[in-house]
Amino acid sequence: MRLSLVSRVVLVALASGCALSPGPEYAVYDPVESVNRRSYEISEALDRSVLRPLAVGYRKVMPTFAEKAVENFFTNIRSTESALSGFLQGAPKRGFRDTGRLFVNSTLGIGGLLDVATALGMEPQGEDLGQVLASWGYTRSRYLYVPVLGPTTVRDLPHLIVRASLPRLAMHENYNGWVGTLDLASTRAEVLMDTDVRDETSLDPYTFTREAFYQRRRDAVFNGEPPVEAGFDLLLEEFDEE
Amino acid sequence: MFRIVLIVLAFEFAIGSEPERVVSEFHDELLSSMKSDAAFVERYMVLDEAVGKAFDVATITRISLGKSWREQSAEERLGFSALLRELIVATYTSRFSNFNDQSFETIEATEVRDGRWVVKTHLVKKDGGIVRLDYYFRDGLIFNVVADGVSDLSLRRADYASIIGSEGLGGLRRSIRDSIEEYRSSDAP
Repeated sequence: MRLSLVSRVVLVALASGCALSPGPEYAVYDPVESVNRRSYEISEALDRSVLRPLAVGYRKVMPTFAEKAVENFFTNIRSTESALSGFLQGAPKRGFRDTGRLFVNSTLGIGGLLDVATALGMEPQGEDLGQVLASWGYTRSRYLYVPVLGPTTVRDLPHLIVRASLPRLAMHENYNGWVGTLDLASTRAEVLMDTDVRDETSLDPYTFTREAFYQRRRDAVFNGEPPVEAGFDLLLEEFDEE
Repeated sequence: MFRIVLIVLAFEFAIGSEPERVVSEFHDELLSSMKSDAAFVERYMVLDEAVGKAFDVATITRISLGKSWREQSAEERLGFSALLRELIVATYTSRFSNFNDQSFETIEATEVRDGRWVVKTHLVKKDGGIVRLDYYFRDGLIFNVVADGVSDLSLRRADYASIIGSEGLGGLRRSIRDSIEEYRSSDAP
């Protein structure tokens, strides 16, 4: 099998990332915390001054149905990653379900503006390339906070990049500044409640975001059904090891 | 005799397991709080009793403080437990303040091993959206709530470890008091 130079570099990077990340599976590993914290602070400053106000304004101005249509449109484009990831994980049922969703929503759903597939019982599978790599055994990965794009790990970086790039790739020159701003506002508005709860609840938002990110990813890898025994791990640490 | 056995069995199935009952009663109190027009302080009092009945705050405190818990005197541990209970109640009182046709559904209750149970539930929103809420039990009381795969206890432990590392236990106490005060004032008329 012949691999291109890019594929080789990616494989070497992934293999080294996998080998160099110690600790238990799906657990927080943040060896460059000071750099990540700086990146988080810059992103938060930008978010407070530009992105959050944009999302709040967008939510105020847009009627609910229009907001939902925009969200559906970009989600539909991004669902190509989920469909591909289902197949790559060796879960053809999931892959076919997302491919079916893509077809139904792109046609009956008027280019993805309406989520007809869910109404027909075809639930989104929510797969991505990070989950593919985890299913291939890449279960330990170091934390990265990418300015503006947000939290990720080395393993989940391809997913973050693909997720951000797909609308531009799908729409070519039609993805202009206005569409990009709409995408940005819609994406930020989707997580407004999450970030507001975080800001209200956490004492150290950076640590809170990092911990929540790792747990969400673990939950996604197990398709919302992680082993229940893991929920008792903290108890075992504190009580059973005495 | 057979009838009595049937009635007893029917009664048992209607109630479900003890952890299910604890969760169900706690959910009922949350719904009452959401539907109530009462002021923060009144709803706080009701939920304080509900949290006291359902949650193992001592275990939550011990796990949340990690290593620092071991360095505390018995009196300090009790003080932290009381403070954390106040925070938990204030958080629930503030979050569950508006009723918008939400409902709770119990999905299943599983005994993982002796006295350790998981009760899986759904918070169903008006638009049909679901938030998965899993309650983890130890000796009949809840010590961890996992919402959509994210453990409240793990977040708390990580968050507190960071503050203890930078500002010590005194700093953590101050931050928790500030949070409680924010919850109280955000609900003020």
